[in-house]
Amino acid sequence: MKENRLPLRLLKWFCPDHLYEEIEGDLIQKFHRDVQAYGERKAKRKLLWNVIRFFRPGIILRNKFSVELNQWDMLRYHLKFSIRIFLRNKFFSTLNILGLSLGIAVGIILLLILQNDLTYDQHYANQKRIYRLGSHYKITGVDEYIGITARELGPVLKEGFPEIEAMTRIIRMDRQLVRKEDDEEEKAFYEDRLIQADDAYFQLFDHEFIYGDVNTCLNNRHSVVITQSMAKKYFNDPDPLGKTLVINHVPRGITGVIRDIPENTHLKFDFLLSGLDEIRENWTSTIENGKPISLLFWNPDVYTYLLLQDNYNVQDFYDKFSAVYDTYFKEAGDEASGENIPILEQLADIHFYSHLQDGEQEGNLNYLYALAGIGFFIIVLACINYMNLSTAKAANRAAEIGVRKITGSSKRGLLLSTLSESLLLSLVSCILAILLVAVLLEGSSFNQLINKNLTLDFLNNPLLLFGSLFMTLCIGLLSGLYPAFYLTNIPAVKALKGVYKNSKSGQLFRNVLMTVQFSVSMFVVACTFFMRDQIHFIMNKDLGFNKDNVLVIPLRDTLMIRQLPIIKNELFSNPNIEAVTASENVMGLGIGSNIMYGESPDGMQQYGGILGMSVGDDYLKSMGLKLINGRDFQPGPDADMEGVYIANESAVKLMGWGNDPLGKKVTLWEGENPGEVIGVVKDFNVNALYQGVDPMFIIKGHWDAGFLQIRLAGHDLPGTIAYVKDKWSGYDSRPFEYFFLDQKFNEQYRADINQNKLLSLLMYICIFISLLGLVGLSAFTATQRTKEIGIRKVLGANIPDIIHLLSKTTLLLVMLSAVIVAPFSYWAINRWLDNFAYRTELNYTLYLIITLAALGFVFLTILFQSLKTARANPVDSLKYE
Amino acid sequence: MAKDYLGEFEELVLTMVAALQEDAYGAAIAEEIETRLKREVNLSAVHVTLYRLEDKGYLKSKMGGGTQERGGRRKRIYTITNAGLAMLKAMKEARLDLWKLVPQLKIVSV
Repeated sequence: MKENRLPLRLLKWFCPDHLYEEIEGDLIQKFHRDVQAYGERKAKRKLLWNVIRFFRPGIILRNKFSVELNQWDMLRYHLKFSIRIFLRNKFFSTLNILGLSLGIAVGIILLLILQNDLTYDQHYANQKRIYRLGSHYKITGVDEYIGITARELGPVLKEGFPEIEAMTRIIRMDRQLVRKEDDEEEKAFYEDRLIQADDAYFQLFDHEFIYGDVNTCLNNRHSVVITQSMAKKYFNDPDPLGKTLVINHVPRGITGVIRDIPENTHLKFDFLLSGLDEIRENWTSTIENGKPISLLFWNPDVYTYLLLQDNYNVQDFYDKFSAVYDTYFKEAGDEASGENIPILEQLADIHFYSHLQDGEQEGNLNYLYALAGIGFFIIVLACINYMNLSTAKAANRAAEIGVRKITGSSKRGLLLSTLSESLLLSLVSCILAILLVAVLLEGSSFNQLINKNLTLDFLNNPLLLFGSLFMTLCIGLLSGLYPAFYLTNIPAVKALKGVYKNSKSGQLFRNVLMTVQFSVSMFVVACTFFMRDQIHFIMNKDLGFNKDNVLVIPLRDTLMIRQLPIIKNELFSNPNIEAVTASENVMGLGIGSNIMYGESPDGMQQYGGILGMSVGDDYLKSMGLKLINGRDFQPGPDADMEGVYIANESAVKLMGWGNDPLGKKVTLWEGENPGEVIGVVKDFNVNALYQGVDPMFIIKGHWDAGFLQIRLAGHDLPGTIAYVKDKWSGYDSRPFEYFFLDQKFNEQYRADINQNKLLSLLMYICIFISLLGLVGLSAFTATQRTKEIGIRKVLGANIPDIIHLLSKTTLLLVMLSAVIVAPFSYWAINRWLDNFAYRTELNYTLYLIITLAALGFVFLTILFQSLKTARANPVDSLKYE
Repeated sequence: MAKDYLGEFEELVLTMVAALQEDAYGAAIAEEIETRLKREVNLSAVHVTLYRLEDKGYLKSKMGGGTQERGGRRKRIYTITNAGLAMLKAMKEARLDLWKLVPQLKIVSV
């Protein structure tokens, strides 16, 4: 017969402490009598009811009036005290605020970056149900994972799979000329972000329409939906519905204006064109002899997105797909003993988890986590500064704490008071940090550096608002908690007698914290410099061709290509132009791989993954490729146009031709008459150095569009470019566009370069915060040990001895950190280097230099802070004894 | 003194405290009211009234002993102050004075 705990706990929650006991007692007494009168069940109910009846103003207000007023008073008092302490130690407070605000600023920015990346593609209402259909292709020698599928496959699936609610196919278009043609001024730009899609596009992906109708905007085959900023760019009018844009020579009516696409989606576009062709070029029908043409299904060309039912089990799709395979893929598949495995990827997973080839910059979760880790540590560094400085200064404040204790301050009150100091500091730092972030995001090119579009919008971003507040609170508590306990545990009597000394354990703890600081900073510094080393290496490595001073101009149609010889002649009249050549692809812009047939002792053998490159006259010579065997192509419009190949070393090795590659038979396309190898070039890197050299064949060929490549002499670049532009515009009325080969090639490393820049920034912040802490701590130790130093000087120590004394421990800590960090940085940097096929040797002298630099910095800081004490006349410091 | 006015329930509780003497605490008072006056009172009402009377200075209190029945919790024992007693007397006299004005024979059960 025991009363319930719950009602009494409820009572405890709202009842004033000084009344609680008797009320509880009365209630229990009443309960016992009720049990006798009414039985246990009813008594329990009555107890709860009686407790609830106590929830009345007469009781609760007693609570509030007596206690809360006092609380407010105390809070005001704490605040006043904190401000006074803050102002009394301006130097230390400034150090702390600088450190904390940098820490919080880093935290806010990382919060934004994480939010941006982790919500990739998640703003679509259907994101959980949208899947992209990719494929895993296996044919002899080819084993590829690609994000695209044959355009014929989508409709087949839509028809045969009732669980597919909608399906859309998308083609990303290459750079296109977009022109506004009307009576007013003409505007034309090259645009990169164009896609062409089925009319079902908006059934899957929801976009906010500002003008136009979602349901009908793609019905017409010649319409286009544009983004808000394009409407402004071309028409200077928010509502250009019904006007016309000419895209790739086809006039298209504008049927919709949507809000700009956010940065964190992999379907970025400015123009959405309607009318994706059902049948591909060069085919009149997809059906031959009453059967679907199997070969078509083996040639993927579009991105296919499916909207599946809620909670659909993807395995069902794979199970049912084998029937589709038998009907549509089997025939051609069996001939090449191929296999085609479909891969469904949920929309939001594509950014981080898709490894299919899709021309998308893949999100890197490891990188994000590394960034978040460094950000976290920077915040910890700032907190450590606060902890170290305030516990070190504990001795100074011992008397204050003692007086407060004696005048009756409770331990809780003291804790609150010291905690409010750190909270106040972190609040002030938070405001500074927000200003800092605002300047960084709005007033600098930081967003370009990280390739994002971050904004500091507290009103529309609750995560940011509460995240930064929460972070500030956490930082205040984290940095304040230890000092608060430390300070409140100072024994009052000792403190008032003036014999309180900083304890040994406190000193040890500070040393541990300092080691953590040094280690984190050295880790970040080491990673930054090793990364920089590698980037420098890949950007300057000899690629096997000369990428410097090559001006590249896109050749957009056959008309231009046909005029090449004339243009070439004209260009050569400028002495600053050393060589001119053309090719279908440019090194570093991606060169496709093919299946090829090469001569072997058992006849022609099939190979997959062979790069093929079509070039024009003088290509090898102009690009600086080294011919090591055989001859180059002969120049001229008709010479060597058919059946003549130049292989690279890797191809020779793959085919097993040894020292005798010349004259070997090669076929590029099935059914073509075999040609022969006439030369071998030394291996060169056509792709970024993330990958090695693939086997490759160069042919002299025809192509519809390509690139003119002009090697310049290197001096008077602007003049030469102007000259080329002048000549060029005589042939092509479109805007003149060009780029330099080395820049374009090195752009492949942009992600890594940007990461390194961001890391450098974080590195400087790390170093700065650590040094701030060191400055504070060494200045403090030096002043605290004034008397000791005075005595030592009296006994004959000189200044170097004193400096040695003051810096010894800290320098040892730096060395300890260097030893601790070495294996971690080695591991981290090796994991990063695994991305590259070509990597520098890890340079251990670099690590040594970093360690020495750290020692130097630390020593200088201590020297600077303690020199005054060390030089002081011992008479001044000792005369009061 | 307009402030010095007692409500009916306040007067009742004050009287009970005076009557119960050493045994005047919340639960006992509530119980006495219930048994003697056959009137349902809530514990919280008694407590609130006691606190109010203490605020007004008619009662003072100290913590007493606990009993088994109360789970060991101590009682708050109230005693009436001189001011309380004076107030009670004044009210009683005022009521008596008024009572005398009522013609005794007019009591009729309607």
